Amino acid sequence: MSEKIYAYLLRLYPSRFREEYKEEAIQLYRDLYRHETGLLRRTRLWVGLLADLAVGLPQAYRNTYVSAASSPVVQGLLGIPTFRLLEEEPVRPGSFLFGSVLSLATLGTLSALLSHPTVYRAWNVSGVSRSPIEAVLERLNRPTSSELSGNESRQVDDSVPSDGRKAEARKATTPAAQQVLTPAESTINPAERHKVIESVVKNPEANYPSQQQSGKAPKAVLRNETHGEYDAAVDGAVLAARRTPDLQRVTQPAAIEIQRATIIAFCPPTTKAGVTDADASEALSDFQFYAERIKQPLNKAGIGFQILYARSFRIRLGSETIVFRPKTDIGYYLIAPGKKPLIEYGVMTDSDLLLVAKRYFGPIGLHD
Amino acid sequence: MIDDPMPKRKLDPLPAAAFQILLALAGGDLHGYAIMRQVEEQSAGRMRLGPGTLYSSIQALAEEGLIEEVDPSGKSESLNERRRYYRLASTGRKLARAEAEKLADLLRVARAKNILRGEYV
Repeated sequence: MSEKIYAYLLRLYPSRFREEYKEEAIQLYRDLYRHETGLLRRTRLWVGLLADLAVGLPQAYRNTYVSAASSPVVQGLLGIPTFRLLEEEPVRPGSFLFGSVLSLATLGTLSALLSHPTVYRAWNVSGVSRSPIEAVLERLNRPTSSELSGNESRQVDDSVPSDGRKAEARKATTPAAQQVLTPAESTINPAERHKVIESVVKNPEANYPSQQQSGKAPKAVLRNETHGEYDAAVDGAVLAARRTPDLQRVTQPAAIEIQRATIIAFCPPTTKAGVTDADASEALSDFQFYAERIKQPLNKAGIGFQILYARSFRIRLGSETIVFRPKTDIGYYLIAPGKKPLIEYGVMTDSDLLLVAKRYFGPIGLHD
Repeated sequence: MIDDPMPKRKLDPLPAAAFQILLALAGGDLHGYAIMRQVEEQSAGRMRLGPGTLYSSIQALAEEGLIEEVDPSGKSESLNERRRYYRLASTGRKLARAEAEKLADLLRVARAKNILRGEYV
């Protein structure tokens, strides 16, 4: 059987090569096969044969199959560009068939791969863009050591994405009557659901750096739980999908009233614990450190300073309301009545920010 | 520096597999499987030629007149396992010597630069 496979592989070589060496090559294969006994050695033999194909095929096609002694013409043309025919015989119908089948198989595989739905995962999904509920759910859904060691009473479905997209997709594709998940699909029971909510309520500072947000979020979660709004959520992803918009609504900051020179330091809603990327974590630390240091000198100079953890914010300047959506995550928004706002992106040290503030607001009691 | 007396050839530079085959045949006439084994032995198992590489290289060497097929009569083979034997041609021997001298030169340089110690020739 394996000899037949090897003979079939030899058909990849040019016909002149096969005419000359097919029998020899098969004989050599027999010798090798006889010599290499045992599964491991025969596997190694086949790996070697496949590697040999990659090396030997180009060389086999480069050869002219004309012996030096019998071809004075070839010798005389050395160094002069010549055309060479790889095959002297017409292509066999079998080759067309083989080529067609191979092309169709390749195209079929490619199209299957392209049409296969895959879950979109942002590069920073484990950090910045994850809501507190999703972070807690991920921790809860992580299999424990006992589960990994064969306890099958509660299996964790790793295919369920923590962002709730799968649950939404499931909703969209199933009839309304079937939207209640079956017990086999459920990954969260009422006790676990309460544990998720309790975790957010107990430790709001860990999930929301802003005190305003950390105060509002637990209240909203508790209120909704008391009203039984989440009782139908028996799947972790469904719970996350339903909580996230609720939390986003309550943590939406109100418009910032600008009545004097003000600097707004902005950063996406995230926590140090939620950021797993080392660079992002360092940026967040620096941002918070320098923001704390700059507060006092700015306040002394009569400049308002505010830290906002939001992806966008609104500013009210007189009767005008401006919605600002930063181009990048972290930065500083400098504004004063009657002045065009200045936006500086990236984390700045307190001294750099003081320089920028001096330049923008003018000398109003700022000292280095 | 050695003057290369050989004309510009298709096998210039000489591939490692072709050089090993020339060296294997320097010891006498051999058939394909024996060449393969000899190459494996002389390279301390570092080079193992598969059938494709072996016969492609043999063909290339034969096209250049560096080796030649010899009549297998008199070799002890059964009729149903009649093998083809190859012999090193005089040009092949010259080329192998020139290649070996090139490598020896390199070896000398490597030793002079303290890259190799004395255990190598």
